[in-house]
Amino acid sequence: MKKIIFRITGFGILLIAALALVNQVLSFKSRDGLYSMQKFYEQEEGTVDVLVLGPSLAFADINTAVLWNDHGISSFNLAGSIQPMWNTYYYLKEALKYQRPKVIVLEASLVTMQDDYGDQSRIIKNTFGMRWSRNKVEAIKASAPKEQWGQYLLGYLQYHSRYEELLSEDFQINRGSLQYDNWKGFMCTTDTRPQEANDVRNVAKREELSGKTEDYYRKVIELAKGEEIPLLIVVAPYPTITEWSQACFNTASDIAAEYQVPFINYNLFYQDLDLDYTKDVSDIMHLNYRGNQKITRHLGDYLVSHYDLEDHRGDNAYDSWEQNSRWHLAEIAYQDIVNCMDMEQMFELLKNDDLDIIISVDSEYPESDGNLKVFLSAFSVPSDGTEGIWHISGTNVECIAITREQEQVRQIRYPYHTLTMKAAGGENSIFFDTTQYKTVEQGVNVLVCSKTTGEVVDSFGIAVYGDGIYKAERINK
Amino acid sequence: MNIISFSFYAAVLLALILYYGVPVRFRWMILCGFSGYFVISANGIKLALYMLAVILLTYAAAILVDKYRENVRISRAVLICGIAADGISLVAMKELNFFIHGVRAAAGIFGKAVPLQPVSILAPIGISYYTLSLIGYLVDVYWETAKAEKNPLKVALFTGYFPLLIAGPIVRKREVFDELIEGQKFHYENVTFGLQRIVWGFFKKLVISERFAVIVNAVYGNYFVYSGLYIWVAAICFLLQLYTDFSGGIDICLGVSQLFGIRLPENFDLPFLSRSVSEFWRRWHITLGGWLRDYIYYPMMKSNVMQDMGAKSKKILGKKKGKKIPLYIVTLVSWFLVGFWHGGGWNYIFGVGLFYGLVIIAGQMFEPLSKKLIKVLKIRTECFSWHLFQMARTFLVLVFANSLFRAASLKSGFQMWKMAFSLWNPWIFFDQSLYGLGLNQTEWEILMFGMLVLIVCGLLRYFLKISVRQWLLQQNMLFQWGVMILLVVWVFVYGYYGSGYDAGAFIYFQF
Amino acid sequence: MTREEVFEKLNQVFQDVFDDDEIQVDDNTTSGDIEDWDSLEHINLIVAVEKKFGMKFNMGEVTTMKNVGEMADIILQRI
Repeated sequence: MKKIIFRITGFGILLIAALALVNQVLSFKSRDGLYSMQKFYEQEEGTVDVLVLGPSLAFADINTAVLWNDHGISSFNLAGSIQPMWNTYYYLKEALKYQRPKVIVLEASLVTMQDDYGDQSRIIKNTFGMRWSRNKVEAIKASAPKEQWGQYLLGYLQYHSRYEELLSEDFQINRGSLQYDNWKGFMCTTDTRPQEANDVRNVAKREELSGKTEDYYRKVIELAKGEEIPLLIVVAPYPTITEWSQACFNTASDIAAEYQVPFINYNLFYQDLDLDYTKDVSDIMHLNYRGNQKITRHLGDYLVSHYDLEDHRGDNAYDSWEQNSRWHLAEIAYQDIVNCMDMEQMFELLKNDDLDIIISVDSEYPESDGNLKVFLSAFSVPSDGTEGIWHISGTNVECIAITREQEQVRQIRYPYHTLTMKAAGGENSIFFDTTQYKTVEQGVNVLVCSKTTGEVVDSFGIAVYGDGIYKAERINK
Repeated sequence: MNIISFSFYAAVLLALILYYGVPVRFRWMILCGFSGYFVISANGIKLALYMLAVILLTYAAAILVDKYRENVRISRAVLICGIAADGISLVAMKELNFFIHGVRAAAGIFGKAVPLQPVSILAPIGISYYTLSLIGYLVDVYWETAKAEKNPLKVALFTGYFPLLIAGPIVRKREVFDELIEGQKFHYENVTFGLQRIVWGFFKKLVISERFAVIVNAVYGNYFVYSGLYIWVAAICFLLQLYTDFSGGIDICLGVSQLFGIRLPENFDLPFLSRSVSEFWRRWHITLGGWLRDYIYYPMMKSNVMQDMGAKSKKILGKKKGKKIPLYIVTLVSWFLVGFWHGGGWNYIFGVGLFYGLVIIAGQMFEPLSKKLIKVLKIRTECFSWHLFQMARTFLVLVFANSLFRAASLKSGFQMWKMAFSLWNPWIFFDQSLYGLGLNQTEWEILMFGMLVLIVCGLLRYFLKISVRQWLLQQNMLFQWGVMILLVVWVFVYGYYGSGYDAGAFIYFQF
Repeated sequence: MTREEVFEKLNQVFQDVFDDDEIQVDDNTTSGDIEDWDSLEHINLIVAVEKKFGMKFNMGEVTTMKNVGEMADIILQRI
C-alpha cells in the first residue's frame, strides 16, 4: 500500500512539474500590462517610492531613467495599454500588498472610456500578469461579462494553442534582452511622426464620465486616501486630444478637487514645456524619447518640490534603478547615431568607450575613393586597400582578420546575444545572433553595438563611389 | 453532462471515493445512484423519469415472461408488447420527425395537408444504447439465456450504467451484470489502466478528431466551392473523424468504468483493417453488429416465414440461388434498421444502413464471378497484396457510406458527390490549398502525427500481435512515466479546446 | 442414437450445406474451422440440422453455442 502511495505521489509530482513548465512557456508574454505586473512583483520590498499607474501614456511618457538621473527617484510604471479604471484600481490594490510608495501618480486619460468592458487582448494584458489572489479574480470579474469569466479565469484555455507563436522570449528569463533585467515598466518609443496639434486650452465645459469609469476612478482616489498615500493625478499631453476628451478631463479634475487631490493636465500648458508635436511624438498618442524627457523633467521637479522623496543615488539597494537609468539613457543617446547621416558628426558620436564598432572592409576600392579613406582613417583602420574586419572600442583598435590571409571567427558576447565576426573563403560576414548585417556589397560595412544596452545601435555602409553614409534594410535575415 | 468537462471528473472522483468507501456488497448501489444522478443532471427530471419508466416496463415484462413461461401465448404476447413498447419509446424520441415527414408526404400524395409539424426533442442521454440493452435483456429472458432479475434497480443499473450512456457499448446481461452487482475490490492496476485509457481517449478526440472536423466542416459547408478532390479529402477525413471521436469516446467511457473495476465489452478492433464490409461490422461498433445479428438477423432467418420463402425460392431458382433469397431480404431489413437506428433521415438509413446491405448482397451475387476471375487472372489470395486490395476497396466503401452520414440530407450527399466528380484538381495537394481550409501546415502536421501514432499502434497489434500498452508495462517505471507524462502534456498543449473551440460536440453523443 | 451416429449425420449436413464432401466435424469444430461458415450461413446450417434430426434449437442456443460439440449435446437431449 505504501508503495502505491509513493508511486502515485511521485508520478503526480513529475506530471505537475511538466505541466507547469509547459504552462510557463505557453503563457502570454506581452510586455505592457502583463510583464509590468510580473516585473513589479520582483521589486525589493520598500524600494518603490513613486508608483505610476495608468494606460500606455503612463508607461511611454513617464521616463523612469530621467526621474532617477535627475533626482534619484525610484519609480515604477505599473501600467497597461488602454487600461480601464477598474484594472488600474485592482493593480493599485495588488501593488499595495507588496510596496508602500511615497507617492502615487495616476495618469488619468482613460477617464474617457465609455465601454463597460475592454477588448479581449486588453483584458488579458491587464489581468493575466497578476498573481492568483482575490484581486485577480475580482479584476477578471470586473473586466469581462459574466459568461466570459470562465475563459479568463482558466487562462490556460486562452493561450495553450500558442505553440506556433512561440518566440525566444518565451523561453528565456528576462525576455532575452538586457533591458528587462532591471526594467521599471518604462517603454521608450524612438520613432518620430509629426502630428497636428489640437488646441483645447479654452475648453471649459464638462462631460459626464461613464458610470463604471467614474466609480472606479473614485475608488482609486479613495483607496490612496485610505492608505494615506499622497496621490497626484496627471493627464499626459497628446496631439490628437479632442474637445470632448478635454471636457472629460475637466470633470475628472473636478472630482479630484472634491478629494483635494492635485490634478495636472499637461494638455493645458504643454507649449511651456517646449513640447513640439512635430518632433516629440511617435504616434497620435505617445511622446517619443525627446518628448518623454521634457514632460518627465517637469514631473520630477514637481515631485521633489511637493513631496518628501529621498534621493537614492549612491545607495546600493537601489542599484537596479541606476542600471535601468543607464540603459534607457544610452538608448536615448544613441538615437543620435540612428538619426545621423553626416560623416563628420558620426565620427564624433562613435567616439565612445561604451560602443563596439565593427568595421568590415568587404571589397577592394580604388585609391581615388576619398570618402572611404577618410572614414577608415578616422578610426585608425588601414586605408591602403586591405580587406578585413576591425573592432573599435573607444580608442582601442583591434584587427580581427585580414580577409584573404586567414580564416577567422571571433565572437563578442553580450548578456543575451552574440556578435559573430567571420572571415572565410575570401568573404567577410558579420552576424548579430543569426541576423547578418551587410548594407553594401562593395565598400565598407559598419555595425555599432552598445555594451550598456547589449543590443545593436545602428548599422550602415560606405559604398565604393558612394557619397557618405548609406543606411538600408539588412540584406539577409 | 459533457465528458470533456471538469465537473464530470469531479463527480466521478466523488463517486469513486464513495464506491471504494462502502463495503463491497453495497457498491452497486453507489453506481446505481450515481448513474441516476448522471441522468438527471444531463436530462432533467422529466426525461430521467421517462427512462426509468421504460426500464421498469421492461423489468416487469421480463418477470412476466418468466412467470408464464409455460403458457406460450401469454409469454409471447408479453414479449411482443415489451419489445414494441421499448421500440416505440426509442423511435418516439429520436425518429419522430422521420414519421412526421413520411405522413405529410403520404398525405401530400393524396392532396391533403396534415397539421403535423416537425418537432424538436432533446432525447434522453444514451437512449439508443440502453433501449437496445433492455430489448436484448427481455429477449434473453424469453430464450432462457438470461435469468429474470427481481430487483428493478439492478436492471436499471446494468442497462443504465452511466459510462454506457455516452456512446455505448450495447451490453448483454451476461457481460456486465455479475461484475456490477458483486462490487469490485480496489486494484491499483484498474486505476492506472483506467486513467491511461481515458488519456488515450482524450488524445484521439481532442488532438485528432477535432482537427479533422475543421476540414470536414469547411468542405461540407461549401462543397460547391470546394469540389473535386476536396470532397474526397473531406470524406476520408470525416470517416477518420468519426472513428477517432467515437472510439475516443469509448476509450474514455471504458477507462472511467475501469476505475470502478468494471470491464465493459470492446466496441472497436482495428476496423480499417477489415477486408470486407461484413468483417468491418465485426470490428466497428462491435456490440451493435452483435446485437443485430443475435436479435434481428438470426431470429428472422430462422423464422418460418423466411424458411418457407427459402424453400419456395429454391424450387424456382434452384438450390444455390434460391437459398440466397431469404438471406437478401433479411439482410436488407437488418441494414435498414441499423440505418434507422442511427437517425430518422434517409442519409442515415441509406448511408449507414441500406448501402452496406446492398454492398454485402452485391458481394454475394458476384461471388461466383469473382472466384472465376481470380482463377483466370491467377491472382494469389493468400498474400499481403491481395489482403491490401481487399482492405482498400472496403475502405472506399466506408468512405462513401459515411460521407452520406455526415451530409445534411441524402439529396445533398449525392449532390456533393456529383461535385466530387465534376472537377479533377490534384494540384490542391501541392499548392498549399489544403492549408486554407482552417488548418495551417503546423496543424496538419500535428494531425498527421497523431494519426501516425494510431496507425503504428494498430499495425503493431494486427501484424505482430504486439499491444503497445502491454509492452509499456514491461519497461522500466521511469520510462512508463515518461511516456504517460508526454501523452498528458501532448493533450494539454495540442488538444483542440479552449476559447473558440467547442470540443463538447460529440457526434455519437446525440444517440 | 449414439454420439457417433449423431456426428455421422452432422457430417452429412455440413457437407451438404457447405457443398464440400471432405468436411468432417468433431467436438471442437467451430465456425473458424470451416471457410464458409459465417453468420450468413449459420442459420442455414442450424435449420438443416433441425430438419435432419427432427428437432428444434431455441434462439438462445443458436446464439450461444460455441462449437459442434455443444450442438451435439443439445441434439442428444432433444431426440
